[in-house]
Amino acid sequence: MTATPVLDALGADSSLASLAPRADFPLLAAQPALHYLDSAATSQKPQVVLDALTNFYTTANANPHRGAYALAAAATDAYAGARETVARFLGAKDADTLVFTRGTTEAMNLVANAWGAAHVREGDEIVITALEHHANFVPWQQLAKRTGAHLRIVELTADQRIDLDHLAALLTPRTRVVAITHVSNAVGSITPVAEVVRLVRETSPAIIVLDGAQGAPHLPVAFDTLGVDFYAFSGHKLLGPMGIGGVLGTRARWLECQPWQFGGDMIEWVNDHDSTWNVLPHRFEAGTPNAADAVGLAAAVRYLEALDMRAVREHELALLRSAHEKLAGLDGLTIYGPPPEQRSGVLSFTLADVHPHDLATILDQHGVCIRAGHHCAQPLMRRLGTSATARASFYVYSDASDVDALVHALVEAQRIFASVAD
Amino acid sequence: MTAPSGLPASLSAMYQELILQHYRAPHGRGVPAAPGVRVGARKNPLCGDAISVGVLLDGDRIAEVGFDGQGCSIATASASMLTEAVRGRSVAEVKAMATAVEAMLRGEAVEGLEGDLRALAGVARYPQRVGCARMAWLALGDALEG
Ligand SMILES: Cc1ncc(COP(=O)(O)O)c(C=O)c1O
Repeated sequence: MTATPVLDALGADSSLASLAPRADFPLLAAQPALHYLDSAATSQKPQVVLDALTNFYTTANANPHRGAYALAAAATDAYAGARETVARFLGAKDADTLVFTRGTTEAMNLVANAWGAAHVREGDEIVITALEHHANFVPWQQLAKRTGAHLRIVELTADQRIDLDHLAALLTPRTRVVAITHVSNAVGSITPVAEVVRLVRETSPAIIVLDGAQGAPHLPVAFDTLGVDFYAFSGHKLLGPMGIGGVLGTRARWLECQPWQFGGDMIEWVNDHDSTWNVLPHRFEAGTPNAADAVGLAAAVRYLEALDMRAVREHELALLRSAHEKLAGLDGLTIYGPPPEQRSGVLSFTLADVHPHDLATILDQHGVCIRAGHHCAQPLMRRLGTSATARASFYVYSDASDVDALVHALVEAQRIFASVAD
Repeated sequence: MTAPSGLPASLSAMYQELILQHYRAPHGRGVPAAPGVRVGARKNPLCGDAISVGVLLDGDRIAEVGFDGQGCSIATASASMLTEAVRGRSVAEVKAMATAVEAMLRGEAVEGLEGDLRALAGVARYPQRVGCARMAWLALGDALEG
């Protein structure tokens, strides 16, 4: 993507084309008037992902790891191949350190149960932030309640970035877990991971768990050099199918985990009164795996690799800058979060006295899909002093027409609500 | 009872002037503080809105009523209209009214609803918004049961 210098010169580029052809996405191709600006909730799917799903079911469907016939071997290979592909995409050399889950929520519950329950004791400390999605908030809150550990919440700067000074102040030798979002889904703030890692390693033995639900889809991720212990993500937010995601961990940390779900695949040997466990990654994948969706996810990450994640980031940043400029001209509009350079393609805002819920309904009439609500981040909303914001979010298929439709529909909403005098 | 021109009919049916007026300047703001006030509260977990309704009964009649909370135009207008509609009515009348409102929000043709409340009929076309209009009525129900 070479548009950045042009953008810098012009401030905003109203001719911004999509990075990925909309024709690649059957839903978007079928609805040309739709302006889908809710990719932070879930992304649309390219045809190659749908084809991969169909192909698995039509050529390789059998229960992986469970049959001595060729078809079962094909299913096992497809599943293992998907693991290799996804691990490579996220910069992990050792594919066996990628455990597939239903998504980020299940991944966080896995880490909180499998590592947390084995290592967090009464009086220990768990550090999370006020920026977290409930998926990276409630599992730790509940672990703290169960174990008698203290939950510490890092507060935010005025522009909703993690306050690193406060983080530093909260870390102690008793801190066992630091669970932080890589990118905020509600306001888009990007966490300076290297800085967090340095602070944590300086002062505590804590493990660092990153919520990558909004990181993996929008930024290049190199797990092996990030320096964190676990990294969780959801496939459906990065062009993959719903129902598949995962968590990368360092081998050392995985070996400190207790199995958390029990059943087929995760065992080595079952005796009447005790059992032994399979090796990584199977130890943490009880039951028939979601092989088909893993294969679909692998197709999604290959699609993203072909686009190049650096170009994805540049594209979103260009859209964000352009949207920022256009929205800033609207009366009564408040945009949350840090400047675009420190944000992923998320635009969270409120419009004077038009409630976000009303905005979403009115925008919907213009074919503009945005999210209105607390974005599963009620602790953050409390700190913003609002119950809800409106959120538009961009992805590889977004273009200038989406930004323009958003602005146009917002002006309409303003007009409706201004039509009744105070 | 008109809305800005140039909008789809269903949208202007929901965002009627009357609804926007109740949103801008709600009636019955504030749960009464008197002793004996019964309060019901409802939350919409989807959007984080919350409305509570307080009633003070005098025998079988609603002597005083008010609401608190944060809501969108539909939730706020519905709560505001509710306080107007139920003040001075008997509990039985109010329960019948709540049933009629619920039917109207489901898109059924109802008779017997008076005044501003009828403006909520347009919400039935927006299933995602029916919960907003319903919140105050459910809170009132809780208050009367409680
Ligand atoms: C930052 C963040 N964390 C966690 C989640 C939960 O992901 P999922 O619902 O896919 O498990 C989401 C998305 O909803 C998210 O945006």
